[in-house]
Amino acid sequence: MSIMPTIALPSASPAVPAPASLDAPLGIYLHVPFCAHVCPYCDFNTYAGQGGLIPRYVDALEREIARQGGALGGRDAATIFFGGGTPSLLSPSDIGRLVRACRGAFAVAADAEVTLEANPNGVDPAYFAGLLEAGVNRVSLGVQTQQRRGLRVLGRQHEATDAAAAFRAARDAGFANLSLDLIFGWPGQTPDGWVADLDTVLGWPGSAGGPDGPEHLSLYSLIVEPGTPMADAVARGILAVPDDDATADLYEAAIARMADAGYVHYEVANWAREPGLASRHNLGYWRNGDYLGLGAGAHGHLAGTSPALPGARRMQHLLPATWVAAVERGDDPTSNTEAIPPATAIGETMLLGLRLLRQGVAADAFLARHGIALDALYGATIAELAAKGLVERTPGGGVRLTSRGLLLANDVCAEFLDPALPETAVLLPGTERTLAVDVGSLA
Amino acid sequence: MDETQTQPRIRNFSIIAHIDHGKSTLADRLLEQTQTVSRRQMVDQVLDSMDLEREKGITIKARAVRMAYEAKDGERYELNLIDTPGHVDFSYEVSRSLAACEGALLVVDAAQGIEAQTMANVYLALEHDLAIVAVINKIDLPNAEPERVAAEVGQFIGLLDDEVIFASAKEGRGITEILEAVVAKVPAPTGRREAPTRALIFDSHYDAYKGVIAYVKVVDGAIGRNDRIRLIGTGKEVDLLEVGFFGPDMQQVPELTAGEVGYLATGLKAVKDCQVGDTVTLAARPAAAALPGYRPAKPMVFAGLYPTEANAFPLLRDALERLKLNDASLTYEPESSLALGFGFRCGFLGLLHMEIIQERLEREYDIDLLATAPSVEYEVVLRGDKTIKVDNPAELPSPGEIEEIREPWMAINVIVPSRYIGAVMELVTGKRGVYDELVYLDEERVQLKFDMPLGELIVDFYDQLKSRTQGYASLDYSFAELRPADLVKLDVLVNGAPVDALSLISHRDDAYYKGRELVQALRALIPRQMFDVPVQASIGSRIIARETIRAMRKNVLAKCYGGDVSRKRKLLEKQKEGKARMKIVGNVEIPQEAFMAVLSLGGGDKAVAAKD
Repeated sequence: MSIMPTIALPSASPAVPAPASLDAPLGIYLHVPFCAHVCPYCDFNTYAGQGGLIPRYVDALEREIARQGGALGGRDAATIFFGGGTPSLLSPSDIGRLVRACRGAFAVAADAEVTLEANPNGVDPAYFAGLLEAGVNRVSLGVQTQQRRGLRVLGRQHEATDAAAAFRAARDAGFANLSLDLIFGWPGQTPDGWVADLDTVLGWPGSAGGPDGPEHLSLYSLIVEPGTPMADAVARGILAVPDDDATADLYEAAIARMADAGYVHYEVANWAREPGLASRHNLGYWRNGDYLGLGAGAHGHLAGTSPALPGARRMQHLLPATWVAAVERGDDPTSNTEAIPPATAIGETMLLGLRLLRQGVAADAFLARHGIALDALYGATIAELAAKGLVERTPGGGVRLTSRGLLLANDVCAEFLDPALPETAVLLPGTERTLAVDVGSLA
Repeated sequence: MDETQTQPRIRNFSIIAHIDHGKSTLADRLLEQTQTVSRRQMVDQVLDSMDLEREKGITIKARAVRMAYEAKDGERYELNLIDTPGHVDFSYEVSRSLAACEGALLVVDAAQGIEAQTMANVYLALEHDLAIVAVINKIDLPNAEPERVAAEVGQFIGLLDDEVIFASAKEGRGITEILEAVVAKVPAPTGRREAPTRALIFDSHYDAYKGVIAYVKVVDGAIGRNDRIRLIGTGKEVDLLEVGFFGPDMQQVPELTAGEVGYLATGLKAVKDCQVGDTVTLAARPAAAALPGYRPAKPMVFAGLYPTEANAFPLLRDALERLKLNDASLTYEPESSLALGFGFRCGFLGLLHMEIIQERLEREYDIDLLATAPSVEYEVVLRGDKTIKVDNPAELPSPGEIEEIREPWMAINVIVPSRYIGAVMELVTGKRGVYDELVYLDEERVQLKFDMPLGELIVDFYDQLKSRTQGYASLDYSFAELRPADLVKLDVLVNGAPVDALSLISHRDDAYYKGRELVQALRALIPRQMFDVPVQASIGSRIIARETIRAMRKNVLAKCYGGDVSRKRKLLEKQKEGKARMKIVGNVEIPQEAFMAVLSLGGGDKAVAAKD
């Protein structure tokens, strides 16, 4: 308890609007596709029993970071995120090597957010101290639930006490930016048990001098993804998941409880103690920004910058062994490239940006990014949805969801997909700005 | 009689069989054995050439194939195999095909025994004085009971021992015996070569280059390729483009003479000008009278077909026009619905016919369709003695204007194991059926005859019959008469607005429970909207049932990060597409299934369980 925090909180960045500008710094995502055990609800790209591959995998990641850094000319990067899988299966020294590799290949800001996802089991104070040493300054802990029944239904390998101990260990090591993942809507969950989970974690120790509780919480409604063992169990009637009405109740209970505790509900499933503690890496996704995805099955996204260079999303080889082999051969480990034409990119800006509940999509950022005014494209759609009470205008002429719209976000977002672009508009920046402004001023 | 005529060595026959009893396989074997088609060229089941037919395992359009066969008596015979459609919707077509024959092979599955529809066709064949040779097929099956089935068949139609052949078309057993029996048992045609020409049209199809191809059996006289023909029924006259036969490809000949089966390429633009059952004669020397049995095609079941996208209306019109070229029984007239916009009121022979047309429109013409629940045609006597026909429930005049409503009744024939008598009777009486007669066919099976309104028959009856008899019942029906009935119009209001396309006509006694079941079914079928949606059923201005579709509360992606974006975007795009396929009535999105909900009424909780 006497250990002092060794790092400061990332400085509260001024509200960066969505969508991101084309010159915004990159996010770097590093995928760790290994788990000691694969949970029955999980449809992520992860594998159990391949831990022997980890040394080669880390080497390959290091090599791929260098290769991509070279290709992108050492672009600015603001965040590094170790996701999985279970990144906490990697040793602090491996994590340190990879962070250094990123700093060597890209212009990573001094105060960059460096996040690592960790499972509550197999981590101790020494591990967290090592992470800090390695340059990690934010840990996201997969708590999921503190109910024993929930942990078993979700196939988690830890106990409630493990999660509390892991959290305390991270705090004691000096982490001042901790996030927790919790899941609601699992088979057999009660509303009381759910609120009790929230009460429990909100009572965990804060950082030195700060209020109790984690700096950040992600609360996910369980989705039974097709092809998972859980989907099979549900199809066979072994498990029954709560219906939409019941999960809506749980979601609303969480919204109320978190507001009560003073957290900012800044994204559909995400709460921060204060705006500056929002996940900066994930904000990059919701702002439809650029990011690299490195590792097996990782996705990267680079927006289009000219008519000749439309945006693209690239996925790397799914299987860890295939991915490692490709990198070791010196090949580009990309397996799929999906072109993102302007209309799709604009739809994604809306689909993602509307998830940002406070800031929404900003009008000026939209125009700057897509070369057309928000209202020229969506004025009528916004007015129609606003009349139904699903969206509202933000002060700068942007748009965001109302609390009613939040619960029906899919229906709202769908209205913005695949917009019909005016034929004459050239929808990329640096060209024909005048036209876009003219159209905008008419709206 | 002319000594040179070929008539004594012609045999015209068809195959009568229930679906799946092996008709197509047997036909294939006959074509192979006579080397009409070599094994190498053999596309399985040559006779069923439409994709849909193959998928549904039924024969929609009859075909006629000529085979040359050298019999054991040393003579060469011309065998014409005239195929018949296998579904009760097409029983008139069957009767015309049988009228072109002198004999029929009755194919019966050695494991399953004879079925109602088969019996109906056997009776049709007997009415036309056809010689019948029974083929007990699939004797290779482990559960085959050839002797028992043969005894059963013999008992119904009194066959001699040498008129029953045991065969396995699949294994090629008994094929020669069948061909020999056709030669020995089926009489040669007996037309008069010198008489004025009369040819029976038993099928037709439209060919883009040659116009309507009429499939004919020349009864008297002859038809040559340069003749000008007259169709006695429709009065049309036309110069022929060519005459020939199917072997199985079209092969031209200079003429078809009495007793022969073949085709006439007429150049006519639509099959309605050249209908099945009509008689062809020569314009130069016309016959005095038509052959008996002609009946213009008459649809029995009606439904509205609407494009889901309003701008597809002209496309739908063109598609119907083209389908009509080939289908004299399909009718269509433009209609408009407040709920569904512009579409067509279409008439069909039956539900299967309707389903086929719908599928062809969607598949071949790529039109997204919304079909209203099928209805029958009512005869409505108005006050002041005017009579109108109503085939769309929405158009039924108000009760004050109506003197009497008459609805079509069908004569129903069900063959079923006797243990299901109770189940069938219960189903039939629940659907206003009136019991007529019960005949024991053998120790185990009975034939039940009764009358039932067609309006009840087209609503889920066949499915119910199958499920209540565990698939053992077989069904045949034909039009009996129009009968007066106490009928009312049941309207449906969604979100307070009447949806005309959901209206239905019901017997007064059933209206309450139908209304209740219908709104329950609709509650399950209409997806939750962003607001509460009341669904009500009414008779006139009186609401008789009400349900509320609660507003949707939550539809939001739990998480969306870098690796999810494309997948989640596609998910939402798909949701949006699904919505686009629904009809927006008022401001409620109604899916296609809702318009068919009426079909599942009386099925208990089936429709409701489908979604909840």
